[in-house]
Amino acid sequence: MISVERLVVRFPGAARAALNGIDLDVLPGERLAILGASGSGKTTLLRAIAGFVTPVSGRILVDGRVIDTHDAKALRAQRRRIGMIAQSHDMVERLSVERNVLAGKLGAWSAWHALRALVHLTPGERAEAKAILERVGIGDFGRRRTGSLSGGERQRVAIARALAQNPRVVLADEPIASLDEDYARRILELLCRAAEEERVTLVCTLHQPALAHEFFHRVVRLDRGSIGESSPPLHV
Amino acid sequence: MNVLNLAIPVWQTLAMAGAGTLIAVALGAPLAAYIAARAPGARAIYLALGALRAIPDLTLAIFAVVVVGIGPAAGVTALAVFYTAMVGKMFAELLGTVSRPVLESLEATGASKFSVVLFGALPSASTDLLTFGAYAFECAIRASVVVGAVGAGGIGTEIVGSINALDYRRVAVLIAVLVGIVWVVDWFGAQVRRQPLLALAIVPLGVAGLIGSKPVVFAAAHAVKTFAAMWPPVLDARALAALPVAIFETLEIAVVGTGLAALFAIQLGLIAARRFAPAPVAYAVRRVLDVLRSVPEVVVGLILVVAVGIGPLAGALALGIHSAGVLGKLFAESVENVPVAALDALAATGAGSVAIATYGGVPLALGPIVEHTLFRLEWNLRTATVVGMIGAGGIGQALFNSQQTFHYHEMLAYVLITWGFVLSAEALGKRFASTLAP
Amino acid sequence: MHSSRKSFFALAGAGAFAAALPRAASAADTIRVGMIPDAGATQVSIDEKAPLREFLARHMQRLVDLIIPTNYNATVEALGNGSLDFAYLGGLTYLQAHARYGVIPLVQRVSDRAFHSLFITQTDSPLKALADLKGKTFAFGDVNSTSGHLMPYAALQAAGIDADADLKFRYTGSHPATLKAVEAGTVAAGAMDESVYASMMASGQADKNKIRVFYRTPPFLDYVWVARKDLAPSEQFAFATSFLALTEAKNKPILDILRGTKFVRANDGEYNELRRIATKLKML
Ligand SMILES: Nc1ncnc2c1ncn2[C@@H]1O[C@H](COP(=O)(O)OP(=O)(O)O)[C@@H](O)[C@H]1O
Ligand SMILES: [Mg+2]
Repeated sequence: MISVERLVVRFPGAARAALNGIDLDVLPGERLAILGASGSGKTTLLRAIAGFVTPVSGRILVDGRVIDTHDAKALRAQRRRIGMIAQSHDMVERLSVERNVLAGKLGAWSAWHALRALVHLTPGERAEAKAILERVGIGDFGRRRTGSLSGGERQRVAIARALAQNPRVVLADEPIASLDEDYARRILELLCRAAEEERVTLVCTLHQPALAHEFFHRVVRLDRGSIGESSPPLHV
Repeated sequence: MNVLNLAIPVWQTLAMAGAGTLIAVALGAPLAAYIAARAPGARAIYLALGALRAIPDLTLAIFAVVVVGIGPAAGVTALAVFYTAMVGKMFAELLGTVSRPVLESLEATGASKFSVVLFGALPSASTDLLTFGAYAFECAIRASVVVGAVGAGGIGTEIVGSINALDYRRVAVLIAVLVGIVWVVDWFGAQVRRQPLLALAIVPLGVAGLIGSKPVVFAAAHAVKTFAAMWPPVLDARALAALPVAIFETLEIAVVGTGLAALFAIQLGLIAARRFAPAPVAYAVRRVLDVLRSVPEVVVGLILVVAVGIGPLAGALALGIHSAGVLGKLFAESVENVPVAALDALAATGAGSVAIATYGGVPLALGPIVEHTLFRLEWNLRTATVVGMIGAGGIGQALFNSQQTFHYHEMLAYVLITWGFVLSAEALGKRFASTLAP
Repeated sequence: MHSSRKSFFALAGAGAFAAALPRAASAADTIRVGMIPDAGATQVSIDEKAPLREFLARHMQRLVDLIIPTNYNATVEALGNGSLDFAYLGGLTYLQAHARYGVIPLVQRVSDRAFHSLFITQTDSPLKALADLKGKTFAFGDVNSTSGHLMPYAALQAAGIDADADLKFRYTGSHPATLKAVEAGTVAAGAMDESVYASMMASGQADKNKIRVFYRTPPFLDYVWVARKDLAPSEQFAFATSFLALTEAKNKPILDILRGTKFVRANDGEYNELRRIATKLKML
C-alpha cells in the first residue's frame, strides 16, 4: 500500500540527513507502528508520505502512485486518500467540533462548498458529523468550540476528522503523546478498531514499545534517520 | 447656528467612511484570501496593492470625479480604492499569521490552498480581521474629511468652504464637531477590541452610505478616454527646473514638522505619563494630546494656510501639531514602560520629579522614542505631499496646480514622482525598522 | 464567539451585495446645476442660494440640485462626464471646458462683459504701479481664476514683469483669501476680482482703512452660465430664458444672490481675445 524506496530527506542547512535512505513497505490493511527517539525522523517520514517534504532522493508510492510534490494537482488527489492525524492535533480552534470533523472532507469539497459550510451546515452534514463523533465516543460535542476541548478530546476529534475523510491510509503522528496510560489505551483501541472496520492501512508513531506490540501488526524502529530493528510482520 | 446644516455634512462624512470601508472589505477580503492562498500572481497582486496605497487619497479623489462625477460618490470611490489596498494588504498579512501546522493539517486532506484559507485561516484570524476592519473605519473617517477638502462633500468640504467664505466661527464649530466624531469613533474602536463582533455595526452604516452616495453617472468610457489622454507624463523645462525646489520643500515640510512634533511631544509626553506629573495635570495634557491627534493634518493645514500664510511653514506646522499629538501619546506610553526600579534608584538620590523624568525617563525610553519618531517621519513624508495640495507647497502643490489647470501630462508626471517619493519613504521606513529591531 | 465566523461572512456578503447595486442610475428627473466656488462651498452657501434653486425649479418645471464644488477642475470634469447639466464658470474655466468638452455658453450678467481685476496692497505700502512689484511677494487667487490669475498675470506681463521670474508669488485659492493675505501683510500685494472686493468692503469683511487698490486692469469678459454639450436644446432654452427674464423690479433677491442686475445672451466668439491671452500664457 505504501512503498518507501531509498528515501533521503535533508533539511536546508542541516548537518545530517533527517531521513537517511529509508526502505519501507506497508501492506494494505496492515497496522504499522514506528518507534524512535525524539528527533529520529518519525514526523518527517510521515510528512514525506503526505507530500509535505520534498526528498533529496528516493521515492514514495502510495497505492502504486508516486508522491510528487511538484505536481500540485496529483498531490492533492493522493492526499485525499491519506488521512493525517498530526502530532499536535492541530484544529481550527475557532470552529465548532462538527466543522473540524467535516474538515476531513475539505479535499472533496469545492472552495464554494467550504465557504457555504463555514456559514451554514446542512442537516445531512450535521448528522454525518454526529455519527462519526459517536464512533469516537463524543457524540454530543458537535456544537462545542474546539478551542475549549481537552487534549484527549481533541485527539478524538482528530481521529473523527480522519474518518470523515474516508481515506485508504491513515498516518497518525504520536496520537497518544501526553495522554495517561489508561486514556492512551482507549485512543489506540479506537484508532485500531476504526482502521479494522474501514480496512485502512495505518501507520502510527509512538514511544511506548509495549503498546506498539500490543496494538500493531508490525513495529519498526527509527534511529537517527535510518530504519533499525524491525519486528517480524504478523499476519494481516 | 442651524443644526440641520451641520447634520448633513456630519452624515455625509460618516456615510462616506462607512461606505468606503464596506467596499474596501468586500473587495479586499477576497483579494487577501487569494494572496494568502499563494495562488498564481498573488505576489504581483500584493505588490500592486502596496503600490496603490502609495497614491495619496487626495489624488485618488480627484481621479474619482472623472469616473463617478461630482459628489459624495467620488469620495466613496477614492476611499474604497485606497482602503481596498490597505485592507487587502493587511488582511493578507493577518491571514498569513495563522499557525502553519493548522493549515497543513487541512492541506493534508487534499484540499486546495483556497479552501484551506477559507476554512482554516479565515476563522482563525477572524478577531484580528474584525478589529482591523474597525481600525480601517477609524482611518477612513479622517480620510473622508481629507477627500472632502477637494469637494467630495461632508465636513472637509464644509471646512474648506467656510474658510474661503471667511466664516471662522463655522470653521471652529466644524472642527469641534470633527473632534467629537473622532472621539466617538476612537471609543468605538476600543469597544471592538474588547468585543470584535461590534465591528459589524459598521455594515448598516456602510449600506446606508452606499445607497445615499449613489453616483449620478458612471462614465467608464469617458474615464478611460480621459485617463488615457494623460499619457505620457511630461514635465516641461520650467517645471523640471522647479522640481528640485519642490522636492526639497516637501522634504522640509516632513522633516521640520516631525522635528517640531518630537520636541513638543517629549515635554507633553513626560507630563502626560502618569508617573511624573500630578494626576489632574497628566489627565489634562492627555486630553490635549487627544485633540491634537483627532484633527487630521490637512485640516490643521487649511487653517494654518490662512493664519500663517501659504507655504511650507504652514505645512510643517500642520504636520508638527498633529504629530505632536500622536507622538506625545506614544512617548508617554514609552516612558511609563520604563522599569520602576531604575527610577526609584534616582529618587533615592533625592532627585525631584523633573530631574527623574529628564535623567531617568527620557534616556531609558530613548529606544522607543527614536523608533516612534522615525516611523512618524516616514508617515509625514507621505503626508507632506498631501498637505502640499492645500497650499503648503512642494510636489503636492505642483501636482494640484497642474491638475487644476488641466495640464494632465504634467499632473501624471507629478503623480508618478509623488508615488516614487512615498514608496522610497516606505522603503526607508522598513530599513529603519530592520536596523532598530533587536 | 461561536458565531464570529458566521457574522464575518454576513459582513463580506452584505458588502458584495451593496457594491453590486445598480450604479449607473441617470439623473433624468433632476437638473444638476454647479456653481464655481468663488465665495465658499458650504451648506450655508447652498442654503443661502435656495431662492435661486426654487426660481429655476419653478421656471423649468423640474427638480433642481445646486452643487458647489470646492474646485474649478471638478466642475469642468463634471460637465465632461455629465454629472452636471449646467454650470456657472469663470472666463478661463469656460475656455477650458469649451476646449475639452464643448460646453455651450448661455447667459451672463451685463457686468461680466466688462469685468476688471484689482491689484491691491496695504494702505501704507509704497507700491504705486505694477512695475514697483519687481522682487515683491504677491498673491494670486485660484490658479484657474480669470480675475485672480489669468488677467493679472497678463497685465503684469504687459507692464514688463514676468511673474515667474520677478515675483515671489503664491496661490491663495480664493479671492477673499487673497484680500486677507494682503490685509495681514503676508504678501506685499495681490490681485482679485472686483465684485468680490466690492462686496467684502460693503459687508465689512475687509478693513477699508488697511487696503487700497493701486491698479485696475482693462476690461475683459468673465463669468458665464453654460450647458453641457449633449443636453437637449429645449432644456438649454428653458434655462437661458429663466435668467433672461430676471428683472430688478421682480427678482431682486435672486439677482442679489447672483450679484448682478440683468442677464444677456453669451456667445463664444466674444471670448476670442481672452482665448488668445490664455493660449499665449499657456493656461489653455
Ligand atoms: N522543517 C524542518 N526544518 C529543518 N529541520 C527539521 C524540520 N523538521 C524536522 N527537522 C529536523 O529533522 C530531524 C527529525 O525531526 P522529526 O522528524 O521531527 O523527528 P521526530 O518526529 O522523530 O521527533 C530533527 O533533527 C529535526 O530537528
Ligand atoms: Mg515528531
